[in-house]
Amino acid sequence: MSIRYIILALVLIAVAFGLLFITVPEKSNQIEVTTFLKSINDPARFINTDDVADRIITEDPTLLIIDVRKPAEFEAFNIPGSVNIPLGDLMNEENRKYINQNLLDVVFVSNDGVYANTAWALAAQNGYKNLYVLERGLNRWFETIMAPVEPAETAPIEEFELFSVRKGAGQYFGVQAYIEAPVIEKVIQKKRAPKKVIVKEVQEVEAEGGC
Amino acid sequence: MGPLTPNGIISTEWNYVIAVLIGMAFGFILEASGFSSSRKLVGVFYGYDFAVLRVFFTAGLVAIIGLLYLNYFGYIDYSVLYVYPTYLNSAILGSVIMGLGFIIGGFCPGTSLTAVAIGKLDGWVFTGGLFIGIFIFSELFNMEAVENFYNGNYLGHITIMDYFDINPYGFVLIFTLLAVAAFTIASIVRRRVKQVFY
Amino acid sequence: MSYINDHLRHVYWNPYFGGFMLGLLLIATFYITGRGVGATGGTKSTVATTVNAMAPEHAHKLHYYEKYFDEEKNPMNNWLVYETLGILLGAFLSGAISGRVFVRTQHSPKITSRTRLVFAALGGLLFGFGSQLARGCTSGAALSGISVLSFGGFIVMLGIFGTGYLFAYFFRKLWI
Repeated sequence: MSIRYIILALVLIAVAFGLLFITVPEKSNQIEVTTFLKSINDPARFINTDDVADRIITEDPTLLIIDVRKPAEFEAFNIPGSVNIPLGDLMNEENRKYINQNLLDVVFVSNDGVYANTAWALAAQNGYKNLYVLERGLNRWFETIMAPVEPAETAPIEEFELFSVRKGAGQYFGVQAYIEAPVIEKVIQKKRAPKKVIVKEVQEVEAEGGC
Repeated sequence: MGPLTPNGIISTEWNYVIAVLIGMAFGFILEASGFSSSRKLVGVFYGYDFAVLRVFFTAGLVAIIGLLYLNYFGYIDYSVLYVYPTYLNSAILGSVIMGLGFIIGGFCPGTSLTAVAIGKLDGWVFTGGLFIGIFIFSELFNMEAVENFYNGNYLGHITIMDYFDINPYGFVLIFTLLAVAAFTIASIVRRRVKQVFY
Repeated sequence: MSYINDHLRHVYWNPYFGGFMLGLLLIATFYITGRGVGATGGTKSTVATTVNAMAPEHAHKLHYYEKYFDEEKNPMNNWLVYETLGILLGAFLSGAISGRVFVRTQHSPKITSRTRLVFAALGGLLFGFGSQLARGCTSGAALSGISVLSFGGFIVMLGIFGTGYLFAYFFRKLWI
């Protein structure tokens, strides 16, 4: 037998052997504890209410807001375009596909941010990407967007600018509900449509045949 | 990162161009490896030519190992790849019928197409047979029993790791060792078997 | 010239090199499209189209073609059909470079070319039937299947080659 073939066979075996060392077993989808702890302390996961409002108004298609409160609370008040998945149902098979994708930025929302943080931790532990938490939750959303406080006379000019932006955003989100109602309707529909399509797209890959 | 089309990095308009290019490479490699010759293909069953075994297992190993490495380095998302689904009934009976077709007809569908391209009449006839076989199946498919059998014992899009609950890397290593052993045995057998010239 | 042709005709690639190239192609295919190669899919579309052209009502009655005629799409407008065209082109290219393109029937000297053709048709029929039952052939099910370690892919691979070895003895007169 030619020496060349022996060398090639050894190379092949060595490469296959190398596989044993390079990867953590695929069975466990969870990420390393150290990586997780590092990301827990990373403030970059917080996204503030102004940014979220801005992205909703500009109809950013990469934004997916997941409201993790109870359905009753969600019915009472919600951010237009958000999807309600109660915290307890977050890791269900059918709900996972909303979170487990690399296309959209997922923003978790709850009243003060505690539940949203828990949701974030659950998802981050599974190694999912592009996860955010709405900073200080819906309370902050209400304070800043729905009912912004007019800054004091002596406040710097930036504060006033921010205030007028927030007031505009508030109007967009239906603070004067009877005037702006149709707009909200439109927003909800527009926001939800692309999300469903994308989720489906991921599944379709599996459905197609080879030969 | 990859796969490119499902992740929307390459737009779907390019699909058909890519399809033709991939097909060309596939046909070229099969033909250049001698797979347009039925007597060369069938040699694997009689021990006078092991080209099928060598090409098939080398290709399989390169693809398996390569994809696992690409997945590790983050170039490809293994979970998005299409995994051929397992329907136990139809896979077993279907592959037995295909094995019979292989030893009788001397081709498999891909290789018969390469034989068609270089003007082998047996390749043309085999491909004609393929059409008739597919037609017969589609006619029989309207019978409920056939359709039930076709969909029976569905296990899902599962991999070896899912079924046996084992570590894929250990499995790949064992598979590699088996393949190398098979290559060695094949070359020993080939030297002992009476040579057939074709 | 004929000397060169005679020599080139049987000079194939080293099988390990061919296998390596095929493996790289599979990786590239999975990297680009997310699935493997196939060979019977294009044939199936052609059968569906032919049946539809000859007897449209009958074609619509067959459940097996449901997917093809559901959305009034042309079944020939399919990834695998284009890929099949590519296979023919690529094989012709390779054959033309090595001077292997000419019309003939290849058969063992012990049988007539007529016998060979009859058995080729029979084998093709069986293979076509089996590939539809198993949802793929040697390329689509076995080769692409094992590339991603699909359980079914391994079953089909073992099934095809195992049966081949099992029945090889009975059909030896056809080949050696």
